[in-house]
Amino acid sequence: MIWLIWRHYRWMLVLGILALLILMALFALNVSTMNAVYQQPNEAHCLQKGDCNLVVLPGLTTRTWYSLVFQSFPLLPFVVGIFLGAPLLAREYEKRTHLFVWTQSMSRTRWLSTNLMLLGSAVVLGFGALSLVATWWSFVQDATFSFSPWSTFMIRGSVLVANVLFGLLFGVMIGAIVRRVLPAMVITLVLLIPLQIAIWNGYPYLFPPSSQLEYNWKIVHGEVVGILNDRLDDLILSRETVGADGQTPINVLDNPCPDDKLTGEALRQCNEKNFHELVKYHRFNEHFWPLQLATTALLLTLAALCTGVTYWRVRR
Amino acid sequence: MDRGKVVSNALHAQQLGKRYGAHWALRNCNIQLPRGCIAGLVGNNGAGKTTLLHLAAGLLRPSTGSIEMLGTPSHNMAMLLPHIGFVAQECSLYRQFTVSETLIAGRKLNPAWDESLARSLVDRFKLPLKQTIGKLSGGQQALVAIIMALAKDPELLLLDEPFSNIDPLAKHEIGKVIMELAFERSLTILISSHVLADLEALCDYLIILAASQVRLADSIEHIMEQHKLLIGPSESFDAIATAYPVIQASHTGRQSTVLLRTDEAVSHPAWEQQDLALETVVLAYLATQESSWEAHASSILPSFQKEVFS
Repeated sequence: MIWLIWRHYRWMLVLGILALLILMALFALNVSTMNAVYQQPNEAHCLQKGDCNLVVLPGLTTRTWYSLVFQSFPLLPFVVGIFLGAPLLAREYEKRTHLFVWTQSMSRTRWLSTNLMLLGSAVVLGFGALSLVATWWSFVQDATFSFSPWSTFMIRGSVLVANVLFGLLFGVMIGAIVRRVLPAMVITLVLLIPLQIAIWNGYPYLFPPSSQLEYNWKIVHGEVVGILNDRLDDLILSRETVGADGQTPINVLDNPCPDDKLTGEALRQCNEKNFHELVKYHRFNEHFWPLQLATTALLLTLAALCTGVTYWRVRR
Repeated sequence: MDRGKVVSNALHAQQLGKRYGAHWALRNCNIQLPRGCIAGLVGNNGAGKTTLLHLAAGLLRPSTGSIEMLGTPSHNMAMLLPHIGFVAQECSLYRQFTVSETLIAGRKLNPAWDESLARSLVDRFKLPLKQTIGKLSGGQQALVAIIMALAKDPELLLLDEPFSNIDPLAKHEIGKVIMELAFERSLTILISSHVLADLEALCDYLIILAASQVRLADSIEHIMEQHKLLIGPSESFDAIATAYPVIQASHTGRQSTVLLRTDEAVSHPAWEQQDLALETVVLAYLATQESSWEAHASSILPSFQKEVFS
């Protein structure tokens, strides 16, 4: 059985390992280039400004690498789901080879289990290694120029690995239902798009956010003395205007401080008493890893559901 | 499931049925295949032959009734699979594998794999080991598939239209191999075909399927004993028809021809018994039952007859 899987996927495995090695080397080169800046004080001024853009290789700077990774890594669950997951069963049904392989001495459930175990392990190991390097790189990257660490939440840590595994098993499930390679690939793509958008936008709500009043105001001795920028390592979920109690949202149209009746100090005090800005956010060092765990758990649950449907379809 | 221990039938179907939505692909199917027999499965296209073989190979689950192979019910397929050889109607081998790799797959997937048998058959039919399956001719692909099923060393061999692509010489040769192995290893074989001539030479048991139902399932010897073809005067037809079950009757002028099914000896002074061919019986079952059972099915009958006679 293992021989059969090896025979089917040997070229894909060689290609995957090659791609993995090249990507790991490029990540390592980027990290070493960025680390070199710390040793060279004359170049380190970009660290304060947060706009370092260093040449890694001819034609590749740290910023182009960042945007390349930022744009291509979200596609990884699609690539694995469409090219590895969807054909797994659909190809057997379409080429009628299921009639051969499921009438040998091994039950089809065992055939499916062995396939899922081996492909799943390969995906977890390969993308685990990739995620490890990408996570290491992204922490160095965060320090050298001003990008929020949250922008790479979905493509680092355990979430990347779980998301790719979900993509794989989702594709396998579609292949088991559709039973034709090309339609299965297209349907996997079409259905994965809204699912991925939902996960990308929905993960901050898996864990209750922190909240703070007057997040953007600098207040000294009870007086607002300036406006602050958002903290870069915060993920802002919502800003709303709340009333005197600091909780109940108020409709700005029902102005409790009508400026045609109040003026001067009275208006200022009324505003200060009745208008508060409430911001809900996740701070990096408090919530990043708990949210990673929660998102990973959600993705693994979805992957398990897909696997359940696949077994049910195959056994019928 | 021990070999040589006669405990049960090789295949036993009881009220077996398979439904796709509202359409019954097979229903009310009752068959008992004794161990060691070589059974032919005839019927026109869409009669349910492939459905019955897929149910026996565990590729489909019954909608109603039950099917047992070698004394083990079909829901225990994991235990049964090593003892059942199956060859699908279309080429279901991996086309990108070479013949040699296909044999390796067989060895890796089957604990009872008979490598020397596989090698000797590949040599005997001069199959190129280094060629990929996709580049073989249709007949060679079918041969490899049959060799794969035989080398698995099964107790029950299910062959779905195995001869449809094989040239006459190889057909004769593979038929000989199957007969030899069936004799040596007390193998039970179920072969489907819409060409009766292919089956007649091999089989000692016959199952006739039409319009998703079993019309007749019996040993060929008993079928030939039980069925009688008589010619006599039309005026005494009613006397014959009330005394014996009539399968088919035709009237030309004052003379009638009837096919009867009875274990008794028929003796009537005015009626003369004729020589009977198996083909006549098969066609009679398909023709009469089709027209009386389901009128719409009769329109497809002529095409079947052409195939049978070809």
